[in-house]
Amino acid sequence: MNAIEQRAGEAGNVTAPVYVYGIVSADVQPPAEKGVLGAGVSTVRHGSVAAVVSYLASERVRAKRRDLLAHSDVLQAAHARGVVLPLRFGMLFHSEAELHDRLLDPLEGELRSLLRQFEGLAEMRVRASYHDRESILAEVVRDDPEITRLRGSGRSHAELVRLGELAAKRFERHRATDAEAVIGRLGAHSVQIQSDAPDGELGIVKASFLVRDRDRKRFDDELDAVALGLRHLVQFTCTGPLPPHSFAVLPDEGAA
Amino acid sequence: MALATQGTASNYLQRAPSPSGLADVVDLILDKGLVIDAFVRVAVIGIELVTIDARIVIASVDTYLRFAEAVNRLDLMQTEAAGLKELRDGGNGHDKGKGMAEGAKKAISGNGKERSGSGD
Repeated sequence: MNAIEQRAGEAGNVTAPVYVYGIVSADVQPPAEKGVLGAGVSTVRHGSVAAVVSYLASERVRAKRRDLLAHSDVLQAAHARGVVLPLRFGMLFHSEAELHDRLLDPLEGELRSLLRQFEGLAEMRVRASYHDRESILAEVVRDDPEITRLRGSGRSHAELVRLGELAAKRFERHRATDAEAVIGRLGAHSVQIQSDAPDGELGIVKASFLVRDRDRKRFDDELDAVALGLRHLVQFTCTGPLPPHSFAVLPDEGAA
Repeated sequence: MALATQGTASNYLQRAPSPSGLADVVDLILDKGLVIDAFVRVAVIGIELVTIDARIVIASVDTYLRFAEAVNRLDLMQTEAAGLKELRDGGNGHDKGKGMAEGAKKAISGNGKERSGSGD
């Protein structure tokens, strides 16, 4: 441990900038993970809530890839110990006093309420994409008489454009149908859904589901069934259980 | 990897208990999570944040021509693997009209293939 970490590890280092990962209940022990910029992780308590923090050497810091992963790891570790309200990456206070004055004190009630609200809930992050262009396109165009008629050599420019337009529209419709089915089936076991634009030309779904711990098995089984049914065309990934990054919002600020 | 049948019991659904790759993490912690004005925001370097909108927003001729090309390039063996039984030949049906003077009006069976030897 270097001198900075050592000093930061001491309680109440009011002069160092404070990096905040998330909010937990005051009685929770901080996770043992190393945090951003290799700093140690501790908690700053305020009444019934606490901030999970690292003290940094300076405010003028630039974070790198590994710091993003570290932030995520700290939150995962905190989540294993109880509810954590995740903060967006990169939130730094000038000092611990500011942390109290501008976050923990004015918002203690809201934060406590949110912690209760997210008790027993976790985020499941699901992505689905077509394996490759060829297989989904083949699926989309076969049995389509108009597309079939327009395929092959010797077509005019206008016919090619028409062929492409038909294929593009059929593809989009197929994708929208698949997305709706996936989200619908998984959503049935979820308290809330946050759907983002999927990645890339082959992306179908990129969505977060807020799932009760007691419903997780049903959710997982449903995901297995959906993925099994679509396996010839679609690849699924599921990350979780995660802290509720996509769902925890402060009432007034309307964050995230 | 052009085969239509993909995905075995183990790989069509990949589960991870935590985000491990940057792609997983970036979405969750850069765009989501609680934000308050009081914070000083730490800048992130070395990360390219590229948002790709998957939907075909620009219904341009270029987009359509790309699709047409992709459709014409489809390996017929693949559509056979996907369940179309009438296709027998592989890969030689689509010349993309490079100087081939064949008329478009030949006897084309329902699958759009040129005359194939065996039954359709």
